[in-house]
Amino acid sequence: MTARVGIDHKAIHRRRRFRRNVPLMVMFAPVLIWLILFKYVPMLGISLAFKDFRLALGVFDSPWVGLQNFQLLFTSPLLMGIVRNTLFLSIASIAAGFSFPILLAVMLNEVRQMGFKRTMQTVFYLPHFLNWVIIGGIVISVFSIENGPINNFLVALGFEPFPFMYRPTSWITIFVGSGIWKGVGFGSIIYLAAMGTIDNQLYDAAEIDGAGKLGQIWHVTLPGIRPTIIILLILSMNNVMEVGFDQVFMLQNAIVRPVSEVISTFSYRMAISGQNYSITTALGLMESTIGLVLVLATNQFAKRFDSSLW
Amino acid sequence: MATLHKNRYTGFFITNGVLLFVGSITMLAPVLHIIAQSFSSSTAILSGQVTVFPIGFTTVAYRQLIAGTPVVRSFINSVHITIVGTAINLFFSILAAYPLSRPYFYGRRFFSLALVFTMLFGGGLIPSFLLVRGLGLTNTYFSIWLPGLISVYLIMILRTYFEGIPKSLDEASRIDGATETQLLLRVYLPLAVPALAALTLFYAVQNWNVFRQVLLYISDSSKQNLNVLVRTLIRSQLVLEEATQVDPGQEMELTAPESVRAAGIVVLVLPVMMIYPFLQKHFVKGVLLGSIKG
Amino acid sequence: MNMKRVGVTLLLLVIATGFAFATGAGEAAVSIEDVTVRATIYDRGRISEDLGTMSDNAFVDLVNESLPFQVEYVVYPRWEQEELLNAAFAAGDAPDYIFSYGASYNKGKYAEGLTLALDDYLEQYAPTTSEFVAQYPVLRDLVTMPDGNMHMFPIGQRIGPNWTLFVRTDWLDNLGMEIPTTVEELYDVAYAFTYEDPDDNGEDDTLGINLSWIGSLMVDIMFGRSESDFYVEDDEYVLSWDRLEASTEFKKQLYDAGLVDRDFLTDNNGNKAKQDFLTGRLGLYFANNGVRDGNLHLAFLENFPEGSFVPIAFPESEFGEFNPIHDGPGGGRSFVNSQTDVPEAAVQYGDFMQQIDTYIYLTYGTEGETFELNSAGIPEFLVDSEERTRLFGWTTDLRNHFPQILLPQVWVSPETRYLDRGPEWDMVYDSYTRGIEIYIDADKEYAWTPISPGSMPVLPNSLELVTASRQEVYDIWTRAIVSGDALTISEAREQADAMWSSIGGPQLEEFYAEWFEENKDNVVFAQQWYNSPTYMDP
Repeated sequence: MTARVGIDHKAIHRRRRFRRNVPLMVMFAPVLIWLILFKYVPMLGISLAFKDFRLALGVFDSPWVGLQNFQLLFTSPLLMGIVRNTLFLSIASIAAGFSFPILLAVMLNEVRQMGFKRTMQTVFYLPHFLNWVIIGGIVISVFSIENGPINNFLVALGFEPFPFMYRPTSWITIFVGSGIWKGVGFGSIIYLAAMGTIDNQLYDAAEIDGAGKLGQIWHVTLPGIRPTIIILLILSMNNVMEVGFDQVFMLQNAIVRPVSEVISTFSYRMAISGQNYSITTALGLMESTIGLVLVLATNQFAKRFDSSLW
Repeated sequence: MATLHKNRYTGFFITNGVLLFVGSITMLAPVLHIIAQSFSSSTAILSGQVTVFPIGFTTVAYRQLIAGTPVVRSFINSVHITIVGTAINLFFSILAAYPLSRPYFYGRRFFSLALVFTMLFGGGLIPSFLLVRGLGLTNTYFSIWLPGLISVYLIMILRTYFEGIPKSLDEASRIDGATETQLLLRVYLPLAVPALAALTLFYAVQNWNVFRQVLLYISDSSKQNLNVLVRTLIRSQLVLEEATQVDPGQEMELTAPESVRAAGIVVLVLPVMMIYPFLQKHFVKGVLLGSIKG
Repeated sequence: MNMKRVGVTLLLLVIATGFAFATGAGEAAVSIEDVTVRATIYDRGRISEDLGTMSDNAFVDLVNESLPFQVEYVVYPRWEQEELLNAAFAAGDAPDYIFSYGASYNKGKYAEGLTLALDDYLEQYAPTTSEFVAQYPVLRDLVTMPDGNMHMFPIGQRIGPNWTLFVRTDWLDNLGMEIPTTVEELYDVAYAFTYEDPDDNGEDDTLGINLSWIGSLMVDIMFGRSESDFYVEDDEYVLSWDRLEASTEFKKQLYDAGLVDRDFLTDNNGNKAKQDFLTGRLGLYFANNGVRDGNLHLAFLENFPEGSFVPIAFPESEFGEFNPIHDGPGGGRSFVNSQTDVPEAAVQYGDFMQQIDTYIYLTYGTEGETFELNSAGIPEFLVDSEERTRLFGWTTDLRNHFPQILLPQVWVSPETRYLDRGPEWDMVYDSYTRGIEIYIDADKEYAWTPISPGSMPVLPNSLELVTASRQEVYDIWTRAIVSGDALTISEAREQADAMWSSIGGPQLEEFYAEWFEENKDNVVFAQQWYNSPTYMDP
């Protein structure tokens, strides 16, 4: 297209963009200040991973030791196992658990009676608020050998009681499963909110095209929340190195420790035997780096579906 | 519209309902267990008799909780932190997510990256502590509200939500001469109500349950929140190392009885359970969007 | 007259005078009246609202009235204090006086140079404490650090029983058995309890003994194992798996014979075992703080009014007879921050907290109002039990600043504490007095910590990783208990050895060996506790 004489479209565009951006920048400004002050300034503390932190000297005067802390960590024979466990348990939890909140949201979304819907929603989101201290105890007694309901049921059927909590595979299953159970209700909330924006007419259209209930769900509901699903998937990669201390601590025992000991429980043990911020910071830095790699990878993958984080 | 087809889908609805109901029972059981414990006698609890119904019904645990611990004041503090905190969180979340959702916003990609980066990397306990102290925020609730101004996770979700709103509305409003701010207030916010309701819920829960920050920054006991109080009560000798250091003079009579701990948990958990039902009416399917099409 | 010379001389004079004033002002120390001492205290969430808060209550007022300077309390939740204190230290803002039960934490602070050497201050600012250490020099040793100075305020208490082994005597009677005195007999009793229906109810619902939580450690004690697996042998401090091996063997036998709860490994806090005991499923019960546990006795009485149980001495093994864990005679629970600006005032505060009048106020209240002295000179409460808990239950930690050994024996004797309070307390009295007899026996060895924890050295950073990794070694032994034929005891020992080497255990051994060589004349051995004046005659 030839530009009309005398009108510079690009300049108009730029000016218009600038004008639109002014209120946006004003809006974002406080957030930016916050970001720098409360998030980036403290990152200076990452330097502790490269120092030998002495309480008496403080952050700034503690001596630099380069990579010594990392050396200590990497030469510890246990550390590799612990990192492996952390990765494994959290990826298993994310992978297995990802679909359940979506499934629950779909089911709740389809309920017609408001009273029943509200009750179900509330009930499902309750376990999220109970501490692992409580839930851990309950899980253990449910699966206990002596008198646990599950084993009682097996015995009634004529089987031998099975040591669920003492075999690595079954323990991991229980670990992941109980985590899913605890978080599914709370996790479904975002998806439910997203489903709220799907245009009713799309459902009617699908119905006219001959789709049954399940078909409508597959062709309307799920695609409708696809951006949300992808974003949550990427964001959950951020949690990959964080296996919750409480959950592991309450459920673990000596037999399964080789698969259950994670970074958070090991740090706790270190803290009991002697405070060592340098090592903990170094561990944290390692965790963050792995997390970053995963987030970047997932984001690249997500670009293929047109919704990425940036 | 749905009623016309109710008969066609009855089978689905019934299956759906039954599955949900069965699932909900497992969710409910532990909660009933704790409530039952809070109304049971100590002996019954110690003997492991309490399952989902109280044994030896008594309200002594609640009386002891109210009379012997600063639970009322802590409760009020928690409410205070939650209400103000959630309002602050929501306000700034909108201010953050909206610009990021506009494709022409300068530095949009850069800022998104910068935000997500902070989800992964952080300086840790000591630097944050020093910063908050340096700013003179210790012992005020601003030490909780300011560092926790927004959750990057929720910002990203809200941004995605804003992005999902059809661009046709943009043009329609611009033709009417709307500014960026008016666009936000009149078009996007009303349409984003379900997401905002979800954010309110999450922030409210987060503020209600805040623990680490209160521990670190609030030194005045009278400003402590409920979560810290209850955790202090529950925390018993779970760790072996601690078991071998019985606190002298702690005759077993003085440790908080199981029932009081259960009562503390109930008081802590009940209010957040109540928040969700209030916000549910905003998670409605397609009501608002449909009205815009005209 | 040379004006320049006059000028210079005048100038020098002025400077000299100025100096004189300056040093004079410097020497007059800031009056101890104008300062504020910041002291820590634990928060357990147990103070009623009408009494105030942990930092603002009648006692705080009393402290401020009684001392010439201000005292401000810094309150930390009981189980979070260490982490929060570290943050405060890092900020250069830690309190002046720190009260902490964590012996290794306190020692760690000494190693970092954060504790004040108290010797120079005691005479002038802490008369009560000075008198106390003069009276009990062994307690002073327990808080003396390698630099020869006292770094903590010493306390002393009468050694009281803690870990307990209970047996159902009614079951023994039913089966016609005697109280077991050797590990073999213990096994037989446990076997009988499990398989011979001791409660006569025709059902196979009983178990012999518990290994859960600390139960396993209590079995270790019978075999004389020490917590770190280091022992003093032939004048050296060395590692040995022998006793742990024997103990694990015994536990394996118990497990394989089905005498213990197969879920003992998931009983993280001993609650399952306690439940089993209280519901009549368990006959031999290893209890934490058992002889002092009023709730336990009460619950048992409620469930089994006709039943009976007593604490018994830990049975003898091939390694001898041992005392289980009990209170130590003393140690240090508070220190002054070496970076403080007000050392004199902080020490004086510490002294105040060690005075008997302070203790009386915190425990009994005001004479005439909340208590009175009876004819035997023992304080008796004028308020009922509930009110007493309400008024004084929250002061536990404040009270613990005081060296209990200074109290008249009759005030804290079991008779005073437990008699005339109700039937379950009578049972506690019986348990407690018996516990003193059998568990704090000077003729038996205290094996759990052959060297008093206060005398142990602080480990360097690199060895801390070793101690944190020890758990992996112990897991191997634990697995041997439950794995039947899949893991024999000798295989376990081999694996444990290998694991120990791989986590750097030998370096730890070397460190301790050297340390012991140099310090063996200065350490306080646990056995010495029984020679101290704090050893209570039963």
